[in-house]
Amino acid sequence: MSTGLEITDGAVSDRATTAARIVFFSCALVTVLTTFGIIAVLITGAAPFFREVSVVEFLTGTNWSPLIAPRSFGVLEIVWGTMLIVVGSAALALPVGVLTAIYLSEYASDRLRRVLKPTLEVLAGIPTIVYGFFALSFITPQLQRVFPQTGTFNAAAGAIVVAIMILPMVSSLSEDAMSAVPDHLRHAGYGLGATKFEVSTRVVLPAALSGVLASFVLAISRAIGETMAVALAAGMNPTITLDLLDEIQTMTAYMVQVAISDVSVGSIQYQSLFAVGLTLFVMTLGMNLLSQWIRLRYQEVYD
Amino acid sequence: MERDAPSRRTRRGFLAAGAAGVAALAGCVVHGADSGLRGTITMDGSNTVLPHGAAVAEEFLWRNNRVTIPVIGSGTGAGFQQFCEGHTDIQNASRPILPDEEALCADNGVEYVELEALRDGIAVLGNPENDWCDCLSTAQLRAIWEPGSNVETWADVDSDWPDEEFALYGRDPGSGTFDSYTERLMGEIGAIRGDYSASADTNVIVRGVSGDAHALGWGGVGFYQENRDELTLIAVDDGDGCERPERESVETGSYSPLSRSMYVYFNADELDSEVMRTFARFYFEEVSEEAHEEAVSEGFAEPDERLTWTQWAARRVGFFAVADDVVDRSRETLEDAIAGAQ
Repeated sequence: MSTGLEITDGAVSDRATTAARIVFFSCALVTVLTTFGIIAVLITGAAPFFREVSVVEFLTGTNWSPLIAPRSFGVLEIVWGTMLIVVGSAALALPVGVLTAIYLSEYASDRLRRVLKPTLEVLAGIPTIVYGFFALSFITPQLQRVFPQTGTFNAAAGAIVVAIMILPMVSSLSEDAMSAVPDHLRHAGYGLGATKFEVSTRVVLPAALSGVLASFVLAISRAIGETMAVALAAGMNPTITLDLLDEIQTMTAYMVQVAISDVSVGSIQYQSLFAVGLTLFVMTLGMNLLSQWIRLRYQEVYD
Repeated sequence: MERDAPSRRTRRGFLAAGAAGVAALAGCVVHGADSGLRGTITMDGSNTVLPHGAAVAEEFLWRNNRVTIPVIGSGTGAGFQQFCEGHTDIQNASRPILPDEEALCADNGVEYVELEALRDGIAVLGNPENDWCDCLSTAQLRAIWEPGSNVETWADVDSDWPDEEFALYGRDPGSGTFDSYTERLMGEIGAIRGDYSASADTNVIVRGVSGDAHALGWGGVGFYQENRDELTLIAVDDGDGCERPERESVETGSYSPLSRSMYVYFNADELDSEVMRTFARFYFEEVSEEAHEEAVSEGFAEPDERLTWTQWAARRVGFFAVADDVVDRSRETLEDAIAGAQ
């Protein structure tokens, strides 16, 4: 043993180690307990709702009108709204994010990258409500200039603004994954006469695939859960539509609507908040598990 | 140590000077007059009525500066829950109390007096670019808004109007404005089509309607007055010609069916306390000379029209006053309740 990191024996340091272990463990425990607490709150809150409305009706109905009679609790209508935002924003942010990552990792000079990457990450620090106003007062008017039939609140503005929000996550995490690809792979590529473009797209990108895909999943997860920007920009009118210029309502926007209106505690509308919250939680949990699985499945180990 | 001492003394001196300064400043900014009344009155309820309650309370506090009146606006429904559990003394309501709320009050032994405090009109709002429609009949409004309505375009209502889809905006269920609108128009609370954009914030309705030439919305008249440039008012014809929600039409009720009274509820048991009694009476007392002059110069009262505080506050914050005979009746109801509480 040549390292100097041997742990010394002795009762004192033993006790210190134990104490440290307990402190660190309880910190870790706090987050785990919080997660269980949230799950418990969601389930106990949603239980009375599912006594009134059957799970099948909730999950398969296509008309969401929990506040206005005749009441109807088909969650698919707001799941659709959320998915429209997710698909729209992913279609914009994922390709742009990966191309940005490739540029940063493979093409940009070191100096430029050191400026560009933090600048991109600044986007991630802007409060989401600010993005909402940006969508409402900038993106929507621009859309209206091109497509005059655009409503004040529309899915397209929501999707575009969410794309801007998740872009730094995709580009930054993908860039990390690409930079981690060992240089000898690149050199081998060049040695075989490949161009920079070929090395980037055929060597680096596949090698970093697990990280890139994981960034996609995290970004999509974020898009599913995004609240304020879509509540402001995409509207409050649940619709199943493919027309991105129409007003929709996402699951999170519904939750905002109920939370700020004065429905009484204990009413079915109030309970529906928990049912929608639970659905949202299951969706994002599923995405996170998927991301774990992708990371393990596609991980390439070098060295 | 030696070196520290003087600086510490200076700091203490500075603090003392500062404290004296703050005290002196506080002396300057104390508002109003001390009438000898002490106590706290809590007011909650409709956030639509809140500015009215706050305006009355503000005038009262000028005259009784040792009284505290926190005014909260958690909504008519949520407010009644608090009020009927005895947590608040005064409840503002944009609609009369509902049967299940009455039951809640009864269960908790909370007795109350209901008084009409002000009037409001619900305005039908359109976009300024809308040059085809300046008046809708009650029947047309019903056809557009009734539950399950399949009116989708303006042309569905009148074939002379553009064949363009409506964008519909209104308040959310749970607001008193929603209850009034549906009750007044359809005859039943909550009867409305499900596919409109329902918002808890009237400003969102304003933004929605102002951004879309084919939009139609509804909300309190006050929001129209604050956003005249971005909205256009659509008159309503209930069979006696087109009426717009203006002071006279709303106060006399000729703006029908969309004008309504809004209410203040006093916890009757609390009326045995002097401060609560004085404040409740204050609503129905004539305004001071100074307030009267302000009202005349701002154009919300005629020189020979002496308002009471509740009427004055209603007009001052952009609502409408209840009629004089209503005030007289309210005053009597209140006196009866006060006599009962003692």
